[in-house]
Amino acid sequence: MRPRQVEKRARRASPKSPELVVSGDDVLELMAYLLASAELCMSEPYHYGSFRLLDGASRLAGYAVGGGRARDEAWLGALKRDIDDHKGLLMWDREAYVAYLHEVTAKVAEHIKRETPA
Amino acid sequence: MSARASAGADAVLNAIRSRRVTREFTAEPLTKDQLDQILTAARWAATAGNRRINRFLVVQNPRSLKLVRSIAPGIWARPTALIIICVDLDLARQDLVQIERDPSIQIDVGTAAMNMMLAAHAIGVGSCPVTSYSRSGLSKMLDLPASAVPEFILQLGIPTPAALQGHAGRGRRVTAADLTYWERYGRPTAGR
Repeated sequence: MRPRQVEKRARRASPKSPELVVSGDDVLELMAYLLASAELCMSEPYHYGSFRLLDGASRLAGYAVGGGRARDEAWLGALKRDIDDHKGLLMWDREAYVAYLHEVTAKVAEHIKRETPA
Repeated sequence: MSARASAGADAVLNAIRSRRVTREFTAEPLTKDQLDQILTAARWAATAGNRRINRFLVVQNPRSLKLVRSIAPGIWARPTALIIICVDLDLARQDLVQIERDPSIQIDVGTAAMNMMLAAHAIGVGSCPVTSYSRSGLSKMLDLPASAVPEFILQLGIPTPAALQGHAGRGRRVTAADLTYWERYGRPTAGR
C-alpha cells in the first residue's frame, strides 16, 4: 500500500464502478503539474496549452494504473502509451497532432459510452 | 587546411549535425568527470563583454530531481542530472548590466546551453533543454536565493537505445537554405 493513499470514486454515476486509488504523492504531483502549466500558459505559445492538457491526461492515466485498482487498468495503460507515442507530433507535424486529438478523444468517448450502464 | 585541422573540423561539424534532443534516459547516473566536461564547455561559451554573470547549479539528488520535475511540465523524461543556468543578479549589478533591458543576458544563457548540449553529445550523454517550468516553483524547490534567477534547465542522462534512434523519417528535414536569405531579406539565393 502506498503512503497517504487517497481513495476516490472514479465515476460516481456508475454504481458498478470500482474505487480508483491514486496516491497522495501522485495527487500532489499532478496538482503541481497543472498549476505550473496554468502559470506557463500565460506566456508560452497558445498551442502549448493543448499539449499540457494532453500530457496531463497521460499522467493521470499513469497514476491511476500505478494505484493498481483501476478496473480499466489495461485500457488506461494502453491509452497512456498511445498518448505518449503521439504527443510529440505537436513539434513536427501539427496536422497529425490535431488529427490525433480528434482520434484519442473519440476513443475515450467510445470507452466511456461502452462502460456506462444504459 | 591541414589533415589534423580537417579532422578536427569534421568532428565538430559532425557533432553539430548529429546532436538530437533526448527524451528517454536510462537510470545510469552520470559521473563527476562527465559533468565536469559538460560544465567546462559552458565556461568556454561566448558571453557578451566576456562577463560571467551566469552560475550553473548541478542537481543529481533523486529527491531534488523529483521536486524539480513536479513543477516543470517541460520535463517528460526522467533525467539523472540537471544543470540549471541561473543569472546572478548581484553579479549582473556589479557588472553594471541593465538587467531589464539587455537582451544579451538571454543570449549568454543560450550560448552556454548550446555548448553544454554539444559537449554532452560528444561524450555520449543525452540532453534536452527545458524552459517550461515555474520559475517561482523552481526557486522554492531548490531554495534559490532571490538573486539567482533560473533561466534554463538542461536535462542530462544516458540515452536509451530507443532514444538514440532519433526522429529519422519524420517529415522532410529543414535545410539551411530554407532559413537563409542573401543580401536582402526574403531573397533565397546568393549571387546577382
